[in-house]
Amino acid sequence: MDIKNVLLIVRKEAGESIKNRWFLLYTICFSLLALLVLFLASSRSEIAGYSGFGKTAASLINLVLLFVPLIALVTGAISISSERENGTLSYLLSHPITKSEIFVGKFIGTLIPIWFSISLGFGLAGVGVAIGGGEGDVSKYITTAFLSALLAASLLSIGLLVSVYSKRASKSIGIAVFLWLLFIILGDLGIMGTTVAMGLGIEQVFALALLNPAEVFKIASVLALSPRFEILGPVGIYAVRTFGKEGVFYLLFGIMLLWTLIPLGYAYLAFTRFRKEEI
Amino acid sequence: MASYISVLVFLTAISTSVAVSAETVHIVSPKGPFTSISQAILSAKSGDTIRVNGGTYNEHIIVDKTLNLIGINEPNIDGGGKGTVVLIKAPGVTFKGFHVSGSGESLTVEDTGIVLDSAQGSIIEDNYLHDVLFGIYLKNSSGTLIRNNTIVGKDLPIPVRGDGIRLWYSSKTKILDNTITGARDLVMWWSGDTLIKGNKIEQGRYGLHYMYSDNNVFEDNLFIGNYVGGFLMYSNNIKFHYNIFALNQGPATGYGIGFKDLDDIVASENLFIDNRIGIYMDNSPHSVDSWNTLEDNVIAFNDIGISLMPSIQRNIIVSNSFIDNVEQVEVRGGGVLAGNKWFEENKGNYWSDYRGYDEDKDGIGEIPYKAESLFEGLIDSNPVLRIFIYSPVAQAIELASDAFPVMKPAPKVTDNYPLMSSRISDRFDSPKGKFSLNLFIVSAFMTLIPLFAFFYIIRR
Repeated sequence: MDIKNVLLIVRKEAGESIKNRWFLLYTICFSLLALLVLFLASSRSEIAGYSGFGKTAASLINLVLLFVPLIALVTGAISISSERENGTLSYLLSHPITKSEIFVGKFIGTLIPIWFSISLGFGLAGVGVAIGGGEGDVSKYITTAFLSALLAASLLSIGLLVSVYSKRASKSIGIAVFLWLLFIILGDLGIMGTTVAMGLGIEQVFALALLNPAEVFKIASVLALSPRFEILGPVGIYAVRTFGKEGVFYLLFGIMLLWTLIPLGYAYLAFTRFRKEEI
Repeated sequence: MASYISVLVFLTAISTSVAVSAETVHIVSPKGPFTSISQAILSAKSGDTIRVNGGTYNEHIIVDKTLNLIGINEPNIDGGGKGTVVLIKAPGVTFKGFHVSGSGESLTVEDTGIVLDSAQGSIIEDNYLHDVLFGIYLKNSSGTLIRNNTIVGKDLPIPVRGDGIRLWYSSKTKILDNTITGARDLVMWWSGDTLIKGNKIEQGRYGLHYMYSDNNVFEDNLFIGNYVGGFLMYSNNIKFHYNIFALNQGPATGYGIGFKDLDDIVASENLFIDNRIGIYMDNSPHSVDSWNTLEDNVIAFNDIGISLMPSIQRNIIVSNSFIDNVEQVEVRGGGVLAGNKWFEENKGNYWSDYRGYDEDKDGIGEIPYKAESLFEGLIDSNPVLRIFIYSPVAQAIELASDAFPVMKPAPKVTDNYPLMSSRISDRFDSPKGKFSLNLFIVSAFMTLIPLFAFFYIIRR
């Protein structure tokens, strides 16, 4: 693999992403919403010198959960399928560049703009909170931003996997939006319904929740942001008792990493092993 | 008759002054005349004063006469890690200005800094107790004053610690302006008519804990960072005001305050903030003819504002401010709270999640506040589902139940006269948050780096 070629693709992808009007709109929306939400949440967060955590954290986590997976999944899903549909992928491959260079370049080139937009959103919101005199624990803030970046990476890999197998961009976008719905709402709803109907135990609910990268992100962020884990109820208490507070955090971190590496590896293998006529 | 009384008073006054003039002052200091406090007690008569000058006294003291023991320049009585350090067995003793340290560590024989056994009407004041298992222990010592003492518990795991202050059959006691850090409880058994005021209790198990102790008042106390701020059981006629219960977040408990079988509580202008559960009520009130009143309290930033068993009735909860609790009201095991008053005489509570409006500008919302969240109903009856708190699915469920009201559960609480603004007492002043430079710098970098990158790429 030639680093120069990879960098070339990275630059091309990143440039295309950033010049994309949808991406710009998304970035601006996310940043402004983050700013607004944190500003509102921190405006009345102190009584007698004690500050509340709940509202700020809930707002931040919800905002990330709604926005970041959507943009990551969709960006990933169209990155290869749209080029395949346009025929530009065949054109690209006619150059002296390998498929693995293209794939790696595409992953990094689409990930960087998403990371930038997350950084921009968190940064603007942080400036707002700092000036407004809200909660100022920097390490918690950075941890949440970092977890959001990891969430973006894992959902981008899932999007890429969809993209590798899709012939048309419209189809891959459809699948991406469905996956977003699945991860953000339908999956959790399914677990909740099953729990109410069949009375699932604590361990089962925890195990099922771990299957969903968005839910894993949420649990990890709550653990990182909240001074106490009891807020997550019996399941949170069980998890921390079983694995320890740091142990749970590493477990969740590991799962998010797996959710990044496995789809990415699978997509990579699938993409590099396609024969020419399948491209 | 009146003249007879006045003569009696006159005679009493004379006899008292005679007694005062007859009192002897014994001086204890490392250089003498007495070098140990025990020797001085041995040769003193009832009513004498013993002045103890600064220095360390390695002894265990038994005060068996009515004496005034006054420490000057903070003399330190050290028990050397064995037994109880100071035992007061006579009524009317004053014990003031000492450092007491080095009790044993046995819970079975209750090694203590200062024990008062049948020492009615004593005064324990301005002492500093540290490295003691129990701090101050009153047995059958009614009418005692415990003021301005600092008690620092032994650095032990909570289950093997002793109590900071313990009252056993000691009514009419006043516990004022003490600080208790890292002990187990401030606990009272069968000790009614007690005033607990201005104390700070932190890093313990139960900040305030009592059983079978009626007619108590507690005010202006700060219960912070304990497992449980206060847990009161089997008592009647409890009044408490102006206390702060903050950051009590013990595992599985974490109540700001908890009530079990309590009758006739009056709680006003207290602040319950950032506990796991602000107020927890179990079977209170207990008697059918008793009502509890909670008014003008602020319940803010708790995981659960107020948690009640479904069978709880006869509580008047009015004019309180429920601010940004993750769950404002919990009914344990799900269900509806009936038989409590959440509003009275056109006045309800302030609820930060109230979405109504106030058309006639009288400070009271025109449509009732109803705690009827479908998600909260689900997590009340299925606590396991609390793991999904803050997930978008929680909002999605609320949205669905708003769109299809047939899915809405019966409201846990209905407040027909919700207040439009919170009422936070001036006592709890609200300093403005400080400007966080670290956060500002980090955030500024997080903002500027992508901005530069964007411009760089777009210009190319």
